[in-house]
Amino acid sequence: MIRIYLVAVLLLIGARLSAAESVRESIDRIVAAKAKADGVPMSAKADDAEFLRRVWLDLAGTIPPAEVARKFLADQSPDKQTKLIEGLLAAPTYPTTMANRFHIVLMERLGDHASWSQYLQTSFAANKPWNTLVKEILRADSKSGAAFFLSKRLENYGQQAVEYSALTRDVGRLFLGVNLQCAECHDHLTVNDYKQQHFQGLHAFFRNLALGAGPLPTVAEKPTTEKIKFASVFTLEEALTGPALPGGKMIDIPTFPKGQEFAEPPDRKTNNPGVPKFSTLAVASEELPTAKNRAFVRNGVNRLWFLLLGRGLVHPLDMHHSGNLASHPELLDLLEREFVAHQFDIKWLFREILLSETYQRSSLLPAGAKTPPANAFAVALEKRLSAEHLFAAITAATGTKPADAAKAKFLKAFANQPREPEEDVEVSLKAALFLSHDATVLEMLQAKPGNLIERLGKLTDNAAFAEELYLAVLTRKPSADELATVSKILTKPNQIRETAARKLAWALIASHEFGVNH
Amino acid sequence: MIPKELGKPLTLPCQSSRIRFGPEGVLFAAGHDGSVLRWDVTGKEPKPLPTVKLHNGWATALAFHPKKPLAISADSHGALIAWDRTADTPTPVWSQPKAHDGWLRATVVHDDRVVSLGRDGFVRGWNLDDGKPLRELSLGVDIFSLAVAPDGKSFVVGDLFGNIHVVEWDKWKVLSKYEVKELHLLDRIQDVGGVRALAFKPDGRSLFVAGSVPKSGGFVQGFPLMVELEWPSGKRLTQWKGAADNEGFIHDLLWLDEGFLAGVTSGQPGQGRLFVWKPGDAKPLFESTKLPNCHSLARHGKLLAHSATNANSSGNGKVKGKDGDYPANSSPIQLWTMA
Amino acid sequence: MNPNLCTPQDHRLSRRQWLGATGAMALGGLSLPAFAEELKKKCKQVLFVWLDGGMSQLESWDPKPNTTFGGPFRAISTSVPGTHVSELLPQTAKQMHRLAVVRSVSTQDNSHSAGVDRIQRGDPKNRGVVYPYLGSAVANWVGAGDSGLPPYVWIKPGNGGFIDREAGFLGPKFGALALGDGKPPENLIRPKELSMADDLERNELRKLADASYSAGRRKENTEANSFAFDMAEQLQKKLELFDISKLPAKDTQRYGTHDLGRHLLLARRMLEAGVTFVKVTSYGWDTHGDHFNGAASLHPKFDKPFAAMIEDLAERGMLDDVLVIAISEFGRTPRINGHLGRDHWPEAWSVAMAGRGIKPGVVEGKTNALGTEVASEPHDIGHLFHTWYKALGIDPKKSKYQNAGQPLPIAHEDMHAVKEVLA
Repeated sequence: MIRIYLVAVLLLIGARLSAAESVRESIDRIVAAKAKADGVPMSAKADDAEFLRRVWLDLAGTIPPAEVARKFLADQSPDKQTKLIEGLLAAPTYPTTMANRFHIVLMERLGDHASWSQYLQTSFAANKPWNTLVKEILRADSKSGAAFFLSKRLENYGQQAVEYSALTRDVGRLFLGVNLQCAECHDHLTVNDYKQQHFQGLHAFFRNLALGAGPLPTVAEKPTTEKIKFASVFTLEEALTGPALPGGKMIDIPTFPKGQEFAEPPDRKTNNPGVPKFSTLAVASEELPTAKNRAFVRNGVNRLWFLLLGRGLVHPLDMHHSGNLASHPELLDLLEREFVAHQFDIKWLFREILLSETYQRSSLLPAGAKTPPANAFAVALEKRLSAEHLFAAITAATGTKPADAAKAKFLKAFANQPREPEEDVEVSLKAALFLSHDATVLEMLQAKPGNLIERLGKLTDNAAFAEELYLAVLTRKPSADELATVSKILTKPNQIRETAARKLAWALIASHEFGVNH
Repeated sequence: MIPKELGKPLTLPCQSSRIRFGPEGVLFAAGHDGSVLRWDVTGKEPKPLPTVKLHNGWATALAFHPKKPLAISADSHGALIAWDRTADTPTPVWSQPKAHDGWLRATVVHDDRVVSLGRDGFVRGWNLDDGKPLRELSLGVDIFSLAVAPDGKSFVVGDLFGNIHVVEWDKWKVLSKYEVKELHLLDRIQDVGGVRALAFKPDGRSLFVAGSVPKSGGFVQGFPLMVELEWPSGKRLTQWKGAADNEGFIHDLLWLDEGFLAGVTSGQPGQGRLFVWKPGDAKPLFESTKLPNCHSLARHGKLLAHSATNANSSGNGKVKGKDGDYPANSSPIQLWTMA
Repeated sequence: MNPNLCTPQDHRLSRRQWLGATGAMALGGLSLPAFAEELKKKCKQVLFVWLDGGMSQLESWDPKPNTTFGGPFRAISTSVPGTHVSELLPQTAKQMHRLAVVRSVSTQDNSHSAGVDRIQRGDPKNRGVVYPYLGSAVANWVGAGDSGLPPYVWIKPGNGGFIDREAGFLGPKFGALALGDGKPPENLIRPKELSMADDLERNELRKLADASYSAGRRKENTEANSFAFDMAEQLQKKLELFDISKLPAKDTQRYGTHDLGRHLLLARRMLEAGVTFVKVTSYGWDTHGDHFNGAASLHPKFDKPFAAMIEDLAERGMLDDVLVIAISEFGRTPRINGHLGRDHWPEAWSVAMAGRGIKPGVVEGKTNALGTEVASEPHDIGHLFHTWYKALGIDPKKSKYQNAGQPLPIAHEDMHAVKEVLA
């Protein structure tokens, strides 16, 4: 009761605040205040070029063509940045990009399915609210494709059992921001807030699931008739739990006479796994993604914040607990309130963040200062580019038509192994060698009609060459030094322009500036 | 040809992966404690006879002369011993302690000669009465099984790689080699599989070759496989492959005169059965999973016997017995009648 | 080495860099031992042979023929009078005078998934941090040496690549460079269409681009990126190391052409080239079923190249520098199951070692007659880690990790070295 009362009060306060200050203004105020209090200098606003590239990568999953970059940089209108953001939010590239980014977050390279990517695509095209999205994923209706999140995790290989523990863990991490891995067999040893009850209660929702038959991702649910018995390996005290969200009320398990557990009986002929009268999945989908489940809301805003800022307010993203507070607690609370007040509207939250100064800050450090801590958000942080977006950026930069075979190679070189979150910019020897020597990459740097190398080969003016090169690859104009370097290469005796173009283009594509989203 | 259970299983003090009936109807079990256990099963109740303790390591193989009262037994340390099978406490008539360098896997008696083979890759022939060495053939690979053709003119040896070597009886010239390559897999660095059992059809028209089609080594996933080769051409006739890859190996096989084969399998924990199969049929005519993890079977007249290992035999987690001790497993032997 | 291949950037990759002394890399731990400089002077290397799945001690280091659980195989005498090993290790038996075996190993975990990690991390007291595997730890303490190669190389079947997860809190730089099937990383060889001159020039341009980008920006990621390209560059110069076909035929014969044989031979090359820590993994040892035929096939395939390796290291005087360890995540049960296999057994098993700092020809500890218990002072993996650090000249009492300001012991603080196997 008290929780609901508090939420209502907070909503009221939130409603009053939003009349005075927009969320983006709140973000900037809170971040600036903390930076000031901590004596952390803040970077200047990102210049047009850095801003352009960042927003394109975040929302369109690729870099703008040189022509678009040129136009934007030349554009004098004062509201061009806002227009750009609005344009990209409304463009068809938005749902495709978000489908990819959320696919990587939610599936962690466990696999893919046409109906799943279609589901994500349509969901983001319709700007489906976050709570609805998670509800559908947990309800796992096979007709929607959303069932893939659970069904993939219900597969087993050879003799190995289905990894229910990993499934439970993933639900905790991805939807509640808690990594209960070390709380399966006992209370967590170092995080006091994570109890074995939390893991086991969550596990109770999912342990009676099985992979259903059929061509579409399907989840079958066996009736849940009894509580789980568990005991800490340390205390050996036994306990019982029914389905329960971490810190939440335990759900009662109703009893049915034998043979009457199903509302819809299973039918092997139609591959219908049946629907139990008491469906823990149905309960999970109703109870977990709700406004009153603070962990759900806070995890949601934290992860959305992370996608644009490169670091969560709570970091790591799956370690929300009282010993790991948010870097800006007031901000997290505010975003939590506002997200609920705006019915979990993802695009709305993105817009607020995108329009804030905090998002639009440069990655160049403030002059003379020592490096601010990452969690001050005083400097823009580098964000990892997914293999898919790196591929899109390289094909865009080189003017290559993206081919599936080439994309598959990029995935092999840049994507992580299954269950290794792709949150950080990571060292990769494999990637370095791939960019250096792989035939596909080298192919993209051969002159072909209309592509970058061909274009550059035809530009006789060194300045024009340099500008086209930098705009196409790095989405900015070259500095004076860079122009000098390019000219020096081009004016070497017997230098074939095309060969020079190849070397210079490769250097920029393999550079760190290109490989991350800064 | 449906076998019917005859009484409760015999209990043994150890595991046994080879059982055979002697010509007089005594059941012999080669034990993993180096002993040969015996029961007289001719009466109403099986009567245990004194255990024969002559071996080191595992007692691994048994053979008998049909008329002379000799038993030939072998062990995993390489010894081959002949003894009077009718005696209560037999002493060796002759003994070749180093018949092979290590694991002696199979032995047969034919025509006053004993043939043995082992992991050392050698096939050796010995004089039945005094154990003197007569013949030797080096195949250079681990060999598992041995059978003499019904016409007595040749014998076959099955190796680790799924090959069946045909050897002429008198001078031991190698005549030919048949391949059932599916019975072997190189999984990483492990050679898995082998021709584990060989059985001729008594009319000399075909040879049955059995083992497993391994899917992986380590704990071994594999489908039981039995292939019928026409004899002496070696051409493939019928075959039977188990349905699931956790059923493992066919370890032992014998021909029931009535036109059926009986065999035993063992695979993943709890997987293993006694089966009766008519060559050419899609499925076995009879299967019994009452005893899991079966190792060997033997026949005498209307009696059938098969050995297995007790249930719950897995050792993970330092399983303790009722008295807190760490128990060993043992091989129950079930008797059957074929009416 | 072709002197034309040496360019100024070769010398950039100094020991300092591998040790991460710049400090900016670490997300977690960087160690700053007081006597690190001292350590770097002497050559310290490790060969870590990992037999994944659990090699049976009863069919190798601690045979018990003619006992209830002894199995079918015999025991054979070795080059150390009174010491026996299983008949399945005939070549290694001739090298026993160079080895030390601990037969009283008793560890905590009988699962593969957790057990592998715990053994290779030394199973320290839980600190809520992810400890590095031994390879990453030694890479951290000893550094890369002058090999020009990463300090931690892992030769394994299957996939290769840079595996940073083993580094735990030390950070990705101390991960393992895994050579899948002993092959050089994919795309290591420069394609013919790309001339070396062009490759050098374009990399110079790349570095220029990185330098100007990182001027005035946060450094950690740029440094990581450079690190990867530098490693790529260094590895390209070491191509001949990967080509074991150039070795004399007698080497290939003695080690064998099977995976483990080839991989151990490559490991010897890496050690000769000065790589600090070489791990060689062999998979498939989890013989729950048909174990005795499995062991009959597997053990000799370890025996042959392992014995050849010991012999070769001895011949080259490298046993003074290289600590050799042969280990699994546990042993196998005395109890033989229904599929004639042995199951998981951390309770009482054996680990073999040799070389730097180890007393040769020694057997420490014993199990009871049946092999069901350790019958002398039991040794957990923490004891072994203490032993190995000591053998490498690293004092576990003085050296501590510094993880975000928190000092952490390098091995389980309640345990101590097994002095009986230390030279």
